[in-house]
Amino acid sequence: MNQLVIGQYVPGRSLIHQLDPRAKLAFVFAYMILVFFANNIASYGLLLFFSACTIYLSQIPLRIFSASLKPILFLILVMILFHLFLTKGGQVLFHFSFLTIYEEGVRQAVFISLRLILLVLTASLLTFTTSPMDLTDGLENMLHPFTRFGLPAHEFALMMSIALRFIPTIWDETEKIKKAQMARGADFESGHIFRRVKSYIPVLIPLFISAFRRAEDLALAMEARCYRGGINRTKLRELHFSTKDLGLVIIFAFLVLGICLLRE
Amino acid sequence: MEPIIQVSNVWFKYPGEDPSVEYFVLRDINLSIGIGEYVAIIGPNGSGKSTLARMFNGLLLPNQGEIKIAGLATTTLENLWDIRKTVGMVFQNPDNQIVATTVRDDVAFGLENLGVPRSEMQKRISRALEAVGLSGMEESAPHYLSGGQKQRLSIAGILAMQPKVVVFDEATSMLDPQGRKEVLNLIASLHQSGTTVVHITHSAEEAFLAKRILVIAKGQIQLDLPRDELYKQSINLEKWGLEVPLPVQLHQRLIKRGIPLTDHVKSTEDLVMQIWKLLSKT
Ligand SMILES: Nc1ncnc2c1ncn2[C@@H]1O[C@H](COP(=O)(O)OP(=O)(O)OP(=O)(O)O)[C@@H](O)[C@H]1O
Ligand SMILES: [Mg+2]
Repeated sequence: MNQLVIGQYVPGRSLIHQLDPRAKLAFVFAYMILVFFANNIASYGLLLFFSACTIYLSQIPLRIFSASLKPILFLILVMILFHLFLTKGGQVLFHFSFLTIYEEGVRQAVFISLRLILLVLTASLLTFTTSPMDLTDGLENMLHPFTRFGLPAHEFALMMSIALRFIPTIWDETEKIKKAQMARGADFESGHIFRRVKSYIPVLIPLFISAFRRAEDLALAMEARCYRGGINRTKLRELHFSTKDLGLVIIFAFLVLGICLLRE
Repeated sequence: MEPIIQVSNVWFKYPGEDPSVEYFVLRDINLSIGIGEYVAIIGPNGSGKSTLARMFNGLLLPNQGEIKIAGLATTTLENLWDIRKTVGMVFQNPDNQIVATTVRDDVAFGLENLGVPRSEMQKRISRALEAVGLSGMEESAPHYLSGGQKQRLSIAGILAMQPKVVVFDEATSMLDPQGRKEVLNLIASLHQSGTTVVHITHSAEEAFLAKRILVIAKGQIQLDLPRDELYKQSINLEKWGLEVPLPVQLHQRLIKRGIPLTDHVKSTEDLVMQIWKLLSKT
């Protein structure tokens, strides 16, 4: 698997890598909400500037970020066209027979696509700079208070980390089965969409069967290694809040202040 | 010496099958394995090897009879965790027994389950990884390891739990020759360090690395012999659909050709010696 998958961890030792996963999770969650409050050039500018700073600090090559945006390009394009042609309001900028582009349409098109880009960049930054184990550990830790209301925090985190562990394995297997079916004359490339989806059935069925076998094997191996749920379990990984994480709170306070002042 | 594994009159069948005798996967098995032994189990497909192995650490429980691990019966629920701590198990598929997304976290999994304190955990992890030759790969993702490395990682995860017995259930069968050699070497060094080893395999060649060999067929132990004894009779392995080791076939054919060798050879080395002697006489 050579191509970068969205959400893949990019190891490093940058300031952002070193932050506590809980702090990052909470920050990203709050920041994503904040993005929805930006509504003019100044406020979007502030957020863009902030995101650019974090990307710079993460020391992760820009091309990895641009790769993470690729899958949503189509969505952005649809949004832009949608707003350009359908949103009314403000001055008429362009008029040709039934097509009319309003000032408000351009504004919305720009802002919505910026919003999407900001959201994806922020989410990518989180997964690029936080190892999957840290992420699931952070999540388990943050969800822990809810266990008393019956939320299976440990199981949830374990499920997530097992999924992350097996995604590349199953991905490889998909490729293998695809090649095997192609060698028997299967065609995944041509035909209309229905036909192409249908051509994947001979890939999916063996894949499912093998995934169930894997699950059975794994459950057995886990039991053999004394797994019995979250009770009396210790953890190798320890999470520590540091002063850096406190910095995130302060930065966020400034961002909120900035947005409040700049938005209209 | 008190046996570490004691199997007495064990019968087993999978639930849902017909209760008549022929559906029992294991029939009246009696077996005892002492501390520090190196035992191989061979037998044809579906003969019940994996089933027996899974009884050694309480993953399956007998319908009749009893299995005791270091004196603890597997049927008593409170014993189960001590038993699984005592008997580690390495399975066939290298991919399907790794839980975590890094080498270090995977070795930690069993220790976390046991509630080992963190400082102790770190010591045990680095020792286990060193024992299997994976030091320095702590941060690697399992996906990028070779088959042999994955199996060694699984072994490290079990060694860290400090078991007295390690059961290998066809742990080498999905590996390339290099990976197989790595794992077999590791098995040998485990035996050397005093761990009891049970190695389940299809390969007679691998089985003959052990000191004692059990042949299982049709749900019963057909033979239970020291290596050298079985070597003499290993032409009989064919009877149970098992491969006969190459030196044994060679020996039999040489005799058929009228070459004056003794009736029985104990090992490959023995055969080589005899051939040498013959050659130097002429
Ligand atoms: N979960 C199960 N449910 C029902 N029957 C099973 C189950 N697992 C195994 N069996 C049956 O029990 C018998 C013994 O299986 P077992 O896996 O112990 O054999 P084995 O000696 O390990 O074979 P192999 O060499 O193929 O690994 C087989 O006939 C098999 O079909
Ligand atoms: Mg088996």
